[in-house]
Amino acid sequence: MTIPFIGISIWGIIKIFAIIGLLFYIVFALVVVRQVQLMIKTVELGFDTPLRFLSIAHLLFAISVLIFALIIL
Amino acid sequence: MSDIFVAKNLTKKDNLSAEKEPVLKKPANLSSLERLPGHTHNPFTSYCYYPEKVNFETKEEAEKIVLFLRQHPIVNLKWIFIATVLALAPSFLLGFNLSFLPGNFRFMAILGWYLVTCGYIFENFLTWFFNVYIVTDERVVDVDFANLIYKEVSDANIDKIQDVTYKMGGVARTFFNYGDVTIQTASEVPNFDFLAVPNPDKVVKVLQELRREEEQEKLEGRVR
Repeated sequence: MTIPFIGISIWGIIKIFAIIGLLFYIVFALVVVRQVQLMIKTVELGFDTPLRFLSIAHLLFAISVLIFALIIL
Repeated sequence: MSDIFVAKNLTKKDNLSAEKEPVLKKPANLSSLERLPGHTHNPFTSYCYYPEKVNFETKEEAEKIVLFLRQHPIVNLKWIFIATVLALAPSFLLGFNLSFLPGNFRFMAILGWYLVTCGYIFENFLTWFFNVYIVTDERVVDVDFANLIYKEVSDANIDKIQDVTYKMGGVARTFFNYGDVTIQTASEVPNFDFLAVPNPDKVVKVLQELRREEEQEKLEGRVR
């Protein structure tokens, strides 16, 4: 499906927006990792290692979704 | 004539002494710590008396954490419900006709949806988990983790506390026994609000006894 007169695929535009959105999400996931580190430093609550693991897993999930988007879209 | 009814004076005295029993029971050693009411090792607890694994950045070596509090778990119900709806939404939406989307875009939309849902759950959990209130034998500490880019840590010495009040209202709060404790202080932060904490009456009693102890320490010249 292409936009008339310009000849650009509408799915190509959606792909670009999806990738930009995912890049923003990765920045958010990085902020989460950093904030978890800072909060663990501020208060130790006996659940530090699983929380660190969860924040990194969330970041890796976001990165893998971006890679998927680049490959299959 | 023998008495038909004899008042049990002893029992009454026993009840009175039980009422006056101090809430602030200090552990003599590690084994007695385990038997204290309200003491737990659960990292998700909302009320822990003399917690062992809790520590904070500005804690002094001689300082002991008496009470650890965070909001009652029931406050999480709202976002858990929203997260459940978000998690189930794609399976319901697939029932509608999404054939206008190419297969790869449909797959990525679902993957992205679950990514955002994960982020929503994690952020809400972190906000609840790190929003904690700590009462030590020297001060009260309020760690506010409002959102991912804002946090505030404030504390006030026990001897600066002027007034402590608590309020419980509503069906859920009465049923699950949680409420707001407001601490007015003469320090830089005039008010400390311990929001939706379990057993607010006990929290107030612990604070009262700590204040009394602090005053006693001052009188005896044992101020740290």
